[in-house]
Amino acid sequence: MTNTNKGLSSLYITLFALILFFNGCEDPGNVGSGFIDEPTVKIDTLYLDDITTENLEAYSGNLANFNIGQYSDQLLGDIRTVGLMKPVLHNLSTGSDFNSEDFSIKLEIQLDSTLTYGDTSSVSDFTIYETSSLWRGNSLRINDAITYNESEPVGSFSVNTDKRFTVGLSETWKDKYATYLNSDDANADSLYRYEFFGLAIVPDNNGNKVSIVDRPNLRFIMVDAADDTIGVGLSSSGYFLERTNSNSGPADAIALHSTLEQMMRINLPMEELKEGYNDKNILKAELVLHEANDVLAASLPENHVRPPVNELTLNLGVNSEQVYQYQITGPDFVANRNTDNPYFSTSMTAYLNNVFFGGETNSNIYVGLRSSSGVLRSTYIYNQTASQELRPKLIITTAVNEEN
Amino acid sequence: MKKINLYKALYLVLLFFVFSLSQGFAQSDSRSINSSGSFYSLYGVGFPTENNTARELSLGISGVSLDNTQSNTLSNPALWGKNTYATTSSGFNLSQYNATDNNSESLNSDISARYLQLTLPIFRQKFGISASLYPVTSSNYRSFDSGTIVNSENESIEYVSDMSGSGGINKFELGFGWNINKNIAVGYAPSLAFISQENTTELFFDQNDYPYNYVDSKVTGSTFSHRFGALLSFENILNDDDRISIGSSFILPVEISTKQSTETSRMINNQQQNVALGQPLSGNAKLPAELNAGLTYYPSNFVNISMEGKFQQWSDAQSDLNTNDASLELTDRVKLGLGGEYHPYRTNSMSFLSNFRYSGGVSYDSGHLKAQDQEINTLWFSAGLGIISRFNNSSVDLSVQHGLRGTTSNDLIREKIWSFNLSVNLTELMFFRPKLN
Repeated sequence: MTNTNKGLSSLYITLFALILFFNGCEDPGNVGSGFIDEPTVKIDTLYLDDITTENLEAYSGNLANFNIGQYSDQLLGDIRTVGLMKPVLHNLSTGSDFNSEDFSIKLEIQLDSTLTYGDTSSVSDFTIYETSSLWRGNSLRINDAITYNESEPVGSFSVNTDKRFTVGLSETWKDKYATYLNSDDANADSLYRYEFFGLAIVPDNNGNKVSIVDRPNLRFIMVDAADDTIGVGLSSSGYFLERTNSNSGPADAIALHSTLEQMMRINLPMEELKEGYNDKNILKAELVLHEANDVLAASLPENHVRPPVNELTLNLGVNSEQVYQYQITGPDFVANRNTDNPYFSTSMTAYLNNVFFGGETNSNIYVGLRSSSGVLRSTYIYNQTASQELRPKLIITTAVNEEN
Repeated sequence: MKKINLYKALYLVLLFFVFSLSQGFAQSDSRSINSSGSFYSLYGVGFPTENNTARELSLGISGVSLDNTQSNTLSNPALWGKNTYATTSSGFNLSQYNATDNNSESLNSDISARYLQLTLPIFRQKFGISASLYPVTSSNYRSFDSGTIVNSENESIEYVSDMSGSGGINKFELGFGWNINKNIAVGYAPSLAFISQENTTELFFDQNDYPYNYVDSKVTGSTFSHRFGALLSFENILNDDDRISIGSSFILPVEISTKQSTETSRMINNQQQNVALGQPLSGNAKLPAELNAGLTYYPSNFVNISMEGKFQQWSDAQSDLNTNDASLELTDRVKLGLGGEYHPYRTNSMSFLSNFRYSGGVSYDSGHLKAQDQEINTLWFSAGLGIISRFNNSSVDLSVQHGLRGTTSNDLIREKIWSFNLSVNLTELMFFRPKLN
């Protein structure tokens, strides 16, 4: 290689090194920020005033829990719930030692270890009756008043502080069950399904609390003369509810129940939203709903409790046909309780994006308390007549350039 | 012959490597790369770009009077009529901007391809044509800032904004130069001037509730532009070997109708999509009238000295895009340059240092912006090196410039600029005449 070529090669290498070195050296700062239209973040509050209520019926059968008892809630009315259950028709295996001609049957009940609704110090008495009409757990709703035969009690028990009970059931009812258990009829299963209606746990008039039964741990126990035992699970369970005197809450708030007896319907101001924010750079949109927690807390005497409400569930439209999807499958939005303040909030950013750019036209947001477990919960949410800071509102955060 | 092909191949590889690298950086997503230049390019249609060869930049001049038959230039259409060779050339720039104000400091760097030009002598040293693509203005700023908002839960949320701009006005130009006689040459170059500018704002929050956000604002538009040039050449002024060239070019002002659209990304129906924020805005962008004039004196075949000036009437170029900040405003721009060259490679010396062309210069640029009645001027010091092939007239020119722009007084910004430029000229690459056996 000649001196000239060596020199040229050195130049090219130097040039390439310079490119790498300079491109790696960048440390942009805020020099000149006074000259530039830096974006500012702006927060708008849109108060929502088109708010009504919607009354639906939740499904109450074959959930993880069902409610039994009665309670007079100063804010939420007088509640009476009747539990329903039906044992499966046990299939005695060939060669089983169990004496199905001579046995007794008991009911083992497990209550939820932490949740009670009402006066925790009260004692509730319950009587178990045979239901007198056909019901199906999968289609049972909270207003389906199932009749039961009060002339012939099947069993009884009291709930004080214990959470687990064993209740002896009547011979008459046991014999009725044994008829199907020992039947050789090829249609025994079908006959059992349509002719044997199950049991109702009915509160007597002395208690003042609703207890929550843990269905997975509830079973019937058959014990024969030789003390052989067989556990029998449930083919169906559920509850129905009667609520009276429910209009005793604050006028500037709406009661929400996990039974969907009442939901809040918010009709969003679509035109105002489109005109005001269609072309804005929305960073976040948040729906905020304040709970009337002061009123709720003040209405609870000593030793009285309500199952807590940690989230609200929101859907874009719910009718009676859509209740199953809303309650069981899942809602469109979940508003979580703020850890420090008594309000619930949920992001509506995706919804507004769909409104502005995705063709979403549904402006009705249904706010409720979805309960896929069956636990009875209620709360009060302030409506459009409350003081301004407590009203339902949409908080929209946008990035704005000064020139805009 | 093999050596000649080797050098040309080397030049070609270098040209395509650097051009590809530059284009790659220029076309990459501005959110992911380091590619920013002068802070002052944020205003309006960007900062005026010097589309000179590295040789002209090292002299500190526009090059309208730099009579050169062996390599091409964009500076004066009249010079295309004097070309001897078919020439392809391209220029590249690597700049570093160290900006300071009274409170802070930032360091930006920018690598870019400046121009691409092809000239063909239809009649050698009589009539030539040129096709070129080059930027007229360039916007490539970047700035960070931070802020705090208080949300509905009375929590303070910190955020950082990252604002950057890229693009500018470019021209695709076709033109001709006519060397009427040994004293007079003229040229004309119409062009399509098109604007493609993108300003991006990104926001980063310190809470997950507030996602990353960006907004791109894109400006597009085009119009036709016209440029004229003239060159007067005289020999034997003070002695038998000397000559002088007086050159001038003039660009008519143009107004470009623009369309500005704003776009961002949104999650729509569970899919991330780009969406337009609002309707596109119509507006205009103006490029001012420009006059370049100067003279170059050649005392001998080894030395030349140039003195040139540029005037751009930016005060008449107010447009809808100049809305970034009311504290900046356009003003007429004057640039004066003085430089000289030494050509030892013409001495036939065999020493290594005699293989090059050396140049140096100084220039003063009053700038096209003023803030608080103070012009954002720049003082440039420059030097350069030309590598000329001994076997043909292909060349590589390198230049380095150091600029001092603006001031920190009155809360303004001062920029210290280091700029490295490379120009590659490939002559008669496509027009080999086969040798007779």
